[in-house]
Formats: sequence, structure tokens, C-alpha cells
Amino acid sequence: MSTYFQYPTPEVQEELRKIAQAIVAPGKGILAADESTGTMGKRLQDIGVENTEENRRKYRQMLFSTDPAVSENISGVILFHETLYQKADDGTPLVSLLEKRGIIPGIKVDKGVVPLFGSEDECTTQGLDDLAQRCAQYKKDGCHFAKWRCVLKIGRNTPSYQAIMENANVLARYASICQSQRIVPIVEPEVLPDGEHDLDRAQKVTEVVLAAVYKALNDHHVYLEGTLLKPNMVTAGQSCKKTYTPMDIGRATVTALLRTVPAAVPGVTFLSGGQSEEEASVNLNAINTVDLKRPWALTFSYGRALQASVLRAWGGKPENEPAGQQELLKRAKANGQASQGKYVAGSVTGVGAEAGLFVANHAY
Amino acid sequence: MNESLLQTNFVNQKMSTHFSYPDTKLQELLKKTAEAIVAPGKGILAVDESNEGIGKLLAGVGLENTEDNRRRYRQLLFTSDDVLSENISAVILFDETVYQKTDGGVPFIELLKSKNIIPGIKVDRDVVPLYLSEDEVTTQGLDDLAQRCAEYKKQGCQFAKWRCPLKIGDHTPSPQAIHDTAQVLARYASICQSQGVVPIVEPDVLLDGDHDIVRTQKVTEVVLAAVYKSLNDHHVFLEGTLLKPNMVTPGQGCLTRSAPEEIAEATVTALLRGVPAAVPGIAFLSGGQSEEEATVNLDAINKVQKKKPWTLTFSYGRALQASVWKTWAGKDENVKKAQAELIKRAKANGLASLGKYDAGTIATAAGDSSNYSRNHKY
Repeated sequence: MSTYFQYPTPEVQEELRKIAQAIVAPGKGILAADESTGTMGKRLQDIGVENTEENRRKYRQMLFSTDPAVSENISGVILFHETLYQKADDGTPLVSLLEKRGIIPGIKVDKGVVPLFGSEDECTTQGLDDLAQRCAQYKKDGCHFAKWRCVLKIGRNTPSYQAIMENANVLARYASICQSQRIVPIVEPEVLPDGEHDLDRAQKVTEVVLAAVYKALNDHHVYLEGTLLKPNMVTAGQSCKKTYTPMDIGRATVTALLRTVPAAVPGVTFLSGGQSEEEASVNLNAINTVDLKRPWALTFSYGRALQASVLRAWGGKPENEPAGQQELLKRAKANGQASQGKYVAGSVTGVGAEAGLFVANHAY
Repeated sequence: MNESLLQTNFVNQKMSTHFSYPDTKLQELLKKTAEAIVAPGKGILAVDESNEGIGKLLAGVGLENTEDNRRRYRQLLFTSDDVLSENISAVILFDETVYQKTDGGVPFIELLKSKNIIPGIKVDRDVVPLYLSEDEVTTQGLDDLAQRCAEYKKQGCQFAKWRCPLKIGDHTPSPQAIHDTAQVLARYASICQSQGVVPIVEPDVLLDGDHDIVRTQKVTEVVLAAVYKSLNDHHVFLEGTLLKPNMVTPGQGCLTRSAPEEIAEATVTALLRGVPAAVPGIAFLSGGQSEEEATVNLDAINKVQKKKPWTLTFSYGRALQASVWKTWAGKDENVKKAQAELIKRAKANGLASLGKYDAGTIATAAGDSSNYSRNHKY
């Protein structure tokens, strides 16, 4: 616990702070389009489309050419490495489609999970090697924020001290390196929804994990005002027999955050986990209406919960691209409203809105 | 599996995700009490000076350090006009005072309650050295703390306070001191809550030294992060606690002074980075600041344009009593005038806690005198 360290220079502080605040501007959130090649393959397979580089390019091109009105509710997009260097049909980089819409490009920089030897099936996330150089390059290529996902699972004896410490530390190293290259780190310590545990246990685990994360960020002198948090909402396990209302989820989630996330953090952008599009909107809305203090923006960073209907409507067919884009616009608007506590449940339906999107032991 | 590995695994289970929250009724009691202490426009009067500490003050007005003189002084404070409770929500007492009465035989605690002022109690047992450290200390008092809290609660105390000082030097505060401070504060807080008593957690980064305001801010941030991690490890119910920190100011001996706005900016930034918003209120200690300084700085803190998700108020000892002592001078005929000074200073700080104080508008007898003393002993 050193009390001798530097703050970033005022210029770097301002740059990071401005980017973070723009991402969580009122009514806006993030489209997480950073599915790895393998994961994108599963999505495409579900709609009968082959997993080729061209198909992945066409899919992301469709997303990013959506009517500019989409930027009323989408402030940033998280990209996968491949996508950053892909081009539209007319040769312009896909990333410039975003820039033209005033949408901030971001980049997934972790290199996936690896097992913690000796643990009960727990993992950490790798990708720190050469991260500074990679970030410098990504910044040059137009990315202003990054994302790194760590995964923790609730079981009888997990998450263990080892897993919590290791993941908190790796997130802090990642965040520190990003900031050294003027990239805003989105810190994602995901506590998976897998399991039979109830809401109470989920809340406790989330509190302990977040406390460890923020202690590690402090130890590594991460400038909190220039970061964002991407946590799970606090929900019962997927196989829990007890049912809870959105308000229960809202209350448990905000309570956990109030106990652990310093108000210096400008915003919290929830992951959707296995929630359906509608669930993810309704729960985000509850989070924004529950009767508790909310000293940070509370918005979305959704992947599946913004794209399920898009994929279904598109089905891989060029003639369906406008329909796919319409689905994105609709769902972005719904979540924009939810981030303001103004979403009316059921008011926005999509072709895949109700379908549960839970995948056991989900790996991106 | 070999023994020492088993030991290590057990010891390393620090971050358990298996624990209980306090039951709902206890949560509500702790929360209500904490919130009442930091009600709008109000703060805490700290009169928990140890006998040694108050002895110096009595000597200053030519009085012997006897139990009765200590009683007479506290009586002066507690028999002030009821209007005092518009700005004083609570009082921190020293052990002896809990059992004392007015001249007319009314127990002080009863008197305070009748004025709607919440009694609280200092429960730490002063500092002891950390062996082999560079003159650093920890605070003792955990032994039998649960029973002591239960007894104080029976007597009418609803909250407690425990102070850990940390000193800024070339190599201090050391990780050892920070860690121990955080641990001991968390154990104290946990024990208090088990007995239905709200813990005020006081990690005091001392004014002593010639370091600048930036260093104070860094130290304060590191200390607060360690304290709140430790509170989390010990499952302390944050909504039922209060924090009593130092403001972030330059060291007493630093040649570059800071304006109140700078102090406010640095203080609130440090708190935003280290104190979860679940904590209902933060009641600053005054350290060695003069009465007026302490008021003006609190006011600036409440005026600064930053997020402020907790109440920001005062828990002042010296900065509420300096003028009282000066005016009383140990004489019965000065009691009313001395009480008036207390009421004035309480009002000034009440206004400051709302960001409504105009510097210099409330003048008290010792308003501008520094209350600093090196290695101050309470």
C-alpha cells in the first residue's frame, strides 16, 4: 500500500474522463458487438448462416450502417479485433461508419479465460502481454475504450479467495495499462448466473467481488473517474426455484453497488448475461426506478440482449437488412428508455424478444 | 495434504462469500440512528476528551483536574439552551461522563435525550506503539468490547466512536500501520453492530508534518480504500455506520497554504474515490483547525460542485469548544456567556453543513486561534 504514486497528468485525466462520460451520456448505452470468432459462429449457426469472415463482415456492416438515429441511444460499440480492420462494401473502414454517427469505437482486448490450476474449475483471463503496445495501436486506429471480461462462478465453495484475488488483480493491471495509453478501461467482473443459488447469495458474492476489484484498482492507482464498470445485475441463479420481481433485482443490484463502487466512477454499464431482450430492459428500468441513491449512471452494455431480434430478422439475407436494422433501433430505444427509468414493460417487442438467451458456462 | 498447506488455505479464506447480513430489525435500527446523527443542518459535538486531555484544558483555566471539575465543564455544555439541538444531533462522551449527573441530580444522558440529542461513547482505549515501526501506533480496546458496548447501550448510548491516528512522514504511514488500522476499525465496527450500536469509524490522517496537500490526498485515498476493504471483509453493514475522517489539507508545517476551495476539491475527490455511497454520512474531525477555519472549510466542502452522495457534516471537539473554554475561564458567572458561544459555533457549523455559511459572519471569542498541538493527545 504505497502512498507514493502519481496521478495521471491533467490532460490525460481530462481525456479519459470525457470519454467515459460520453459513453454513459443520458439515455445512451453500449452495443457489445465483440463476439469472438467462435462465439459469432454459434450466433450465425442459430440462424443457419455459415461462419465465414465475409458473413461476419456483412453482419457487422449491417449493424453499423443502421440509421444515424441509433446514436440517440448507442454511445459506443465494443468491437472484436477482426472487425476493427474490416471494410464496408464501398471500401470504407467499418469503424468510420461508427465515427460518422458520433458513436465511439471500443475494443475487446482480453485473450479469453484459462484455468486456475488446483482450483475447483475456476479461471482467470489472459491478455496482459504486450497490452500497452496493442492499446497504443488500437488508439491510433480509432478506439477510445477497451473491455476485459473476467468470469467468476457461484458454487458451494466458489468463487474462492484465489479466484477473486487473481481476477481483481488482472483487471487492475489491464485498467492501468489502458489508461497509460489514454484508453478508458471498462472493467468487467462477471459473476455468472449459472447455478441454483438465491438472490441473497448472488448479492453477497457480487459485493465481495466488487470490493476486491475496487481495492485492487486503488492499489494500482487506477484513475476511477476515467473508467467504467460492466457488472452482472444481481439475480438468482438460473436454476433457482424461487422467483423474484424486477424490483427485487433492482434493489439487490443497486444495494450491492452502493456498498462497493465508489461514486468517482462515472457509470455502470450492465451486461445482460442470459437474460432475454425484454428481461434485460425491464430489469434495467427497475434498477433506474428503485428507491435508492444512484450516484453513477446506470445503463446497458448489451450483446445478446440487443442483437437476438436483429439476427432473427436478418437471417443472413441481404433483403432483410433493413428489417434487422429496425430491430436494433427498436431495442436500442427501449434500453435508452430503461436507462432513464422510462421503459414500459412490453412496449417494444421484437422477433426474438422473449427468447431466453441463457447459455451454460457462457464463453465469449 | 500437509498441515501447513491446510493452514494456509484456511487463513486465506479471508474473502468469504458465505456470511449473514444483520437481521432486518437490526439493519433498520442502525440505519435510522446513523441517519438521525447526520440529519440536515446538524452535526456532532465531540466531548470525549480523555481525563489527561481535558486536564490540560482545565489547567489552562486555572482549575484542578478533578472529577467534579470535569463534571462541571460538561454540565455547562449540556445545560445549554434547547436551541442547541437545532444544530447538534449527537454528543460523543467519555466513559466517566456517561455516569455523571447535573448539580440537580439529573443524569447527563437523560438531559441530552430530553433535548433530543443522541448520546454516544468513545470506546477505544488509546494508542499503543507498533513495535519496530517508525513511531507508528495502533489503537487498543477490542478486549471485552462487546460487553462494554452492551453496557453502554443499556445506559443509553446509541453510537460509538473509535479513533486511529496515522502520521505522514517520509516512510509513513507504512503498509503495516495502514493494514492494522483498517483491521482494528473493522473489528470495532463489527462488534458495535452486534450490540446494536452505530460505529463511527475514525481513521485520522494527522495534520502534523510539512507535506503538501497532494500528498495528504494520496495518503487519505489509500487509507480509505484499505478501511472500506476491511469493513467489507468483516461484513460491516455500511448503511449503519458513519465515517469521521480528516479533511484533505496541507500539513501544519507546509509553507504553501491552501484556500478553502482547494481543500474542498481535494477532500471530496478523495471521498468519492474511497467511500461507498452506502455510507449515509461523513462527519469531519477538525484536527488542529481553528473554529473559523473548520467552519469555512466545511462550508466550502458543501459548496464544491461535485457529486456528494453522503451527508457532509461535522464532528468537532476543539473547533466547537475553544471559545467556550476561553469565555468560561473556569468561572460560574461566565457559564451563560460560554454557552452562548457554543450555540453560536454550533449554528455556524450547522449552516456550513448546508453550504450556507458566510465566512466571518459568526464571530466567537477564540474563532481564529489555531487548535493545533503536535502529537495531540485527546
